[in-house]
Amino acid sequence: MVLQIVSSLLFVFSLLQQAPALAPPPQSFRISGTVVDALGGQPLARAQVSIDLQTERDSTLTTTTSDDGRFAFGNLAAGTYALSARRKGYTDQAYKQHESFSTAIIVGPDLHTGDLRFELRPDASVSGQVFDEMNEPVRNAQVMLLHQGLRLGRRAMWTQGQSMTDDQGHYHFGHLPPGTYFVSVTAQPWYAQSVPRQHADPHPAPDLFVETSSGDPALDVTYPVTFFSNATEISAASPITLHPGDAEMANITLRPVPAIHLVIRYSPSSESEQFWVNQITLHVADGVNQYLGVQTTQSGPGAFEIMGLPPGRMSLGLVSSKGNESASGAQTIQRSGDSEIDASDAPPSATVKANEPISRSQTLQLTGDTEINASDAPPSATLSGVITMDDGSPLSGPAFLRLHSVATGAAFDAQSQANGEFSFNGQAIPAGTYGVIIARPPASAVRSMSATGAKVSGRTVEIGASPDVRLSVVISKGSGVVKGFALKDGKPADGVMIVLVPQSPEHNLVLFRRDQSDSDGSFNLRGILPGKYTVVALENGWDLEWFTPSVLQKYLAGGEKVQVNANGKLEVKVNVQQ
Amino acid sequence: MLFGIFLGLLLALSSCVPSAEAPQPASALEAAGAAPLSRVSGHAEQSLQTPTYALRGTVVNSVTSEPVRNALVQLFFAGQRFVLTGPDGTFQFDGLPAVGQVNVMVHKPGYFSPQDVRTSSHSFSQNMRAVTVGPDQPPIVLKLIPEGIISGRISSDGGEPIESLRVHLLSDGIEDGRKVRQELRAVHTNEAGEFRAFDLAPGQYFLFVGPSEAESYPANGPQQGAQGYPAVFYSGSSELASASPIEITPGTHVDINLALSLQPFYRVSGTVSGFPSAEGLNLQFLDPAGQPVGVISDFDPDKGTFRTLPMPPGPYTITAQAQDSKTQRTFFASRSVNLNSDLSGVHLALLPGATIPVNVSVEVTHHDSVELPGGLTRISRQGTTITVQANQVPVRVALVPKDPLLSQMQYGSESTPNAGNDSLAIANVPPGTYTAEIYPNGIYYIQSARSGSTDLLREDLTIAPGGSVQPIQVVVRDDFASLDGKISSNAQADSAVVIVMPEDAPRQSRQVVMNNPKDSFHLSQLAPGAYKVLAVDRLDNFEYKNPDVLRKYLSKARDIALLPDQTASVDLELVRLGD
Repeated sequence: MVLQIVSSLLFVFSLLQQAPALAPPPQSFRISGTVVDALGGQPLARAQVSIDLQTERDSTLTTTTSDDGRFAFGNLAAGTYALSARRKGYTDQAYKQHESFSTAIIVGPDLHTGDLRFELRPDASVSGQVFDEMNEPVRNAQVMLLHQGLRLGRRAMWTQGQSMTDDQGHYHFGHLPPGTYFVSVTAQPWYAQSVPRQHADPHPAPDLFVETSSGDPALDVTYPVTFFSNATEISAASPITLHPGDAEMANITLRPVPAIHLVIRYSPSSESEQFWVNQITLHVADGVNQYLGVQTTQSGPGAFEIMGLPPGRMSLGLVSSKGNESASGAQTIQRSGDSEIDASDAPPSATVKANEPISRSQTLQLTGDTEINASDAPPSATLSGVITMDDGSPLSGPAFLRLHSVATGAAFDAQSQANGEFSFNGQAIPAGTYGVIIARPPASAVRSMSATGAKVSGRTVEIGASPDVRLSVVISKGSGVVKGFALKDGKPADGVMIVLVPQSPEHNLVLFRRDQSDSDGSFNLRGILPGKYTVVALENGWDLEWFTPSVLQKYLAGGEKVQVNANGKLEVKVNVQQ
Repeated sequence: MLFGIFLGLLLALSSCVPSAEAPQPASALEAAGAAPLSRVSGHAEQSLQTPTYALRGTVVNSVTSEPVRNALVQLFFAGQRFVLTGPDGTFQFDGLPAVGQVNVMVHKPGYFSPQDVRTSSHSFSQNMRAVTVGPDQPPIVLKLIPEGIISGRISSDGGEPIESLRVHLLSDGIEDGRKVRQELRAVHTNEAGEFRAFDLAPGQYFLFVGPSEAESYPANGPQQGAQGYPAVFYSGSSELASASPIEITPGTHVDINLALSLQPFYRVSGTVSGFPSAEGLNLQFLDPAGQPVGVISDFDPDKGTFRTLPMPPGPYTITAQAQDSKTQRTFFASRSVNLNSDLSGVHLALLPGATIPVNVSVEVTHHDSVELPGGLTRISRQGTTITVQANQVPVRVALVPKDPLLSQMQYGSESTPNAGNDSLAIANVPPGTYTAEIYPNGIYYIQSARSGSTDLLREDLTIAPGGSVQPIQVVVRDDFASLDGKISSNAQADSAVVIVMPEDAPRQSRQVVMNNPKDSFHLSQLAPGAYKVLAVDRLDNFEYKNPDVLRKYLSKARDIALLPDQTASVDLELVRLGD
């Protein structure tokens, strides 16, 4: 069962249909069991247990476990129930929960729904204090908890939580699943002042600087992003390994460094042209970026100064816009590890449509004051295109298209017009490979794509040097359903990960579907696009890097091959593999 | 790599730091803190001719008188210098010429400056303190006021902590001379049921927690149905009116423990009718504090039926609002319910808001205006020259809801696009009671403003649901009166405010803010009539629109009668608030 889907359309899997025609009066059924500690196995008293009939909204019922950890719900109608439990000191969980999947309890004649063993995992937490170089607590520091582990079947790092320190410098992250974590802190010294570096302008225009800041350059300092324990690079950070029940402490001391000043030069090609810094993101770790709130001043004609920056790798989103004229862009800059910008490369130009803002994206490794010339950076790809339905029907409303970077996980969104035309105007999309996902209309996905100016493989598009990319995206309402049973030694098996694997899996992440088998071994994969697939059932799939094709390869032979047609409904039995 | 940067900073600074005053090697800041001393050497030539002096002092906690270490003291004189106080709270600036007064400012997280607290203003200039530099200047003492902290723990009556419950902190403030109780901050309880609010200025606070969402739905036992934690005011009341204030004095740390009981929660279901399209429909449940509570779990736009998730018992105001994007009309409905069981069949019928025409009569008695280029008109009278746009509408009327609970919006008069330039109206006003605020433009004063039998200068305007409202008739005249005055004060004051109140229409009061109380003031475009005139030292935290607060000071006000086309004079004594 997929947890977040609450829908009255949820298919009620029923053996009831096989009940005799002369059915006895409605029977009443029972769900009962024991809540136990997942580590020690001891029964847990005073846990709150809830059930929800999936076909009825707001049908929650709760009960509290007795001293021997037992719970029971009686007088239940046949149906599919979500079961969950919570208790102080334990993580709120659905029954046999893995990621966003769990095992639903199917209640009906001849189904055994008593004596369930509900293992509740003790909470783990990370907390600590942040201090400054004077050994005083830092208040209002931003603390990020990074989780390293498996996500969507591959190794990744993501933000598990964010928190602000209190007046004592305390932060706390509770209810954490076990795993490997890092803690990072971003803060400004409370006494810091940003002072524009007037000397950074080689052609000073004295009149512009009459208004001097009251700031003192010696206070122009900042804290670098600091990881537990007191590292300024994630590679030097100490991982925190959390087991269920662990409460780890991670204190961090911040040391100021001179704040970096970044001067961005931009030569407007006309007076009507406007230029601004759209966003600055700091690269904290692979796949984890943080927006920085920074001060920008215009330090002279065509010169912008960004102050208070910590050292590190960051991406700048720069936008220029002009009235009704066309503009031209220049050379590619993708810098990491160097802060000098060489402007001598010949600029290839590209003509951009009138009235459209031009976006540029630059990645910089900042170790000291830096000056860049944004006019030299090429405009990022202007990405536009059209979305059409595969059956020729008109779109029911605006479609939402998302580009998902395969390398960094960064996402870019565009909304189409009613006729399907879309454009990523004003968004700086760095070169790279992106998965194309349709977020609306619901339950639809890319059926096929073609592009000019970029390379398409399956549902991914590789954006390179070409300044003008046009995508043609054909989408299809995913309407196919594959349901069935997971069987182990010929008997239904619950809690098993079911994966619907498309052909060429590496290019078709968006075609994957997953489920977890419910208490009677049944599963239900929905919203499937027409095509050929293999259904595999993996007993220990939750710890598997299933998105790595070589990992999945060895299970495909033991799976069930299916051909799903539009609106097709298939039933399969799949053998569980270890 | 980091080491290299850090070293670089130290090297850069140490080259100009006198070795005798080398900083303790504790931190970049302390190293940096010594740097400005080097600028003294920049003044060396000057200091050969003129002697220089030191400014010494201590930063102390205003409550405990203990020294405050690592506070940033900034001195503003030909730029800025700063030092951090030492472990004993002392600081010293050297090499200052005897310039007389310089400004100093002190900062430290967890503390307020005295100016912060007195004026509730954080403006740069008001945080300064002027000190004298010269021979024989004794050390100065700079006080920092420690913050207040409210922390606590929320638990169930069984002693279990309640997590993720919202804790709201309210405080009273004065806005535009009126007292307003506003939410200052909201924090959440953690796993241990604990919350903590810091950085609190001295003052009076109110605290309430909750409500929670429905926490449980017992399947068996005596209490069936949804249960949750209702909103509770400290120290246990369910209403703001009977809530206990929490007094925060400098440096106080108040710890609050509240135990909450699960209560039955109930659902409301019903129908909404009369909305043009479901897209622009907004349905809200407001608790007595005006906070939106409850979640609509189901809404069927075809039938107009709605149902909420379970919510705490108590009185609610249900409001519905919808916009017709085609006609630009807004529709409203509201009703009160008292929830003490599941409630069904609640019906809200949306009705269009009132559109009130505003008719303005301009009575012109003088013909002394001069047309200027650019569509401007100028008049000079009674020592005042007024330049206005010739085609400006003569008056703007704004309706301000008396009950700020339902809406913070004001409804203002605008030219109606279809009916020509001179036609004004206030459109889409929901039912309710309003105070009319009337602002004349140009050279006019308001002689009268009425809607039917309601005198808008003195009375509130009530709009019934779906009811029509009599047009607002405003009469403005140009034979205004003027007032000249000056303030005498024994004590030194930084600023002064003159409040000019018509005796029979205190709502039409006007104020003049004077940055220098020694200047005289001049106020024109006043309606003729009897006035009370009062000069106070500040408007911050002064609820002057509350007659009970004002009465205290009225004995010090001057009575004066203003006549058309005449200028009166008045001498005022400065009233220091709180004296």
